[in-house]
Amino acid sequence: MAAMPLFRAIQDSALGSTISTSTWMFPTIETLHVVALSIVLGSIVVVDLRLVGLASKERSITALTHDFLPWTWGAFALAAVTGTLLFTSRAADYMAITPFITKFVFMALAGANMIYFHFATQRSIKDWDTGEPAAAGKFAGAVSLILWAAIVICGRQVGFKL
Amino acid sequence: MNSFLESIRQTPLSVLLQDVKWLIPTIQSIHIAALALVFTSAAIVDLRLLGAAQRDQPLARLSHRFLPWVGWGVLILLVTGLLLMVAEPTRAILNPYFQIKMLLLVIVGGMTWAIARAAEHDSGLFAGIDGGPAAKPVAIASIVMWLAIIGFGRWIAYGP
Repeated sequence: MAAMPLFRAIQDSALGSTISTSTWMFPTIETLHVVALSIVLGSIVVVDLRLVGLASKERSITALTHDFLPWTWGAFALAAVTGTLLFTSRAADYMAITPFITKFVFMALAGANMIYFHFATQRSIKDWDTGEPAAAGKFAGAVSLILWAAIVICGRQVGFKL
Repeated sequence: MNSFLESIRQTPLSVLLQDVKWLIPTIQSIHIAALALVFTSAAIVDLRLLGAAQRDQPLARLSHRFLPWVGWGVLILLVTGLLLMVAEPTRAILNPYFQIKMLLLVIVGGMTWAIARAAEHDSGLFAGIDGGPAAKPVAIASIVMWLAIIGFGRWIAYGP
């Protein structure tokens, strides 16, 4: 791809080479990345299972999202920071493999799904907040679960290929 | 020990796991998803014990709702972990990081079970709305141990 020289430059940068040549930096940052993704995944699954009507049914959707989404965002920020650091250490190598690209495609779709959920349900949610979710809620919840499972698989594939 | 591990490597199951290329990554992905489930569920109850989140929810309710996921999740982790060990017998058993991880798992597993029982009956160590004096140290120890388990788990790959 045309931007490969840029990614090679990132990989060869001081930050990139420090991380990649260190014996402990990559594994440590990677461990924090796994912790962060565990929290992202866990908190999203709690909300999604509520949206598809499978769990936490006695709590309203807005109460649940109020309790859990801050953790999702906080952990996502940690995952993004650690992910960026991991990326710099082997930027060109990562950009050359399919699972890395598809992981971000799925993450973009998951983001789009969250935006869809917010706008599709903004006005009606007060009608079904405490009961069975409307179709849009169930759809968004199911799509989210599937996308995040795919993201985990792609993420593991990246670790496997490099 | 080494000949025992070598004999595992030659079993039909181990050979299958090694030969079918997508099996090990898939089992590892399930392992990761299950650990996300376990850590989040345990952390939800631990944070409640600390009084740091969902204070409006009774401890017993959160324990009842989320700790079973820890149980089932650990079961999935043990099954997938065992399959990974069968696939690559020498990788884990002799690795000190793996051994520490398993020791921590036994300890925190026991703690989590004790939390579940005490929260259910609102008695003993966790009596009272805030979970009593033992709540905070136990909750912190639990979170630290689960994090250490994740860390040691990742370091198996880099281990001596």
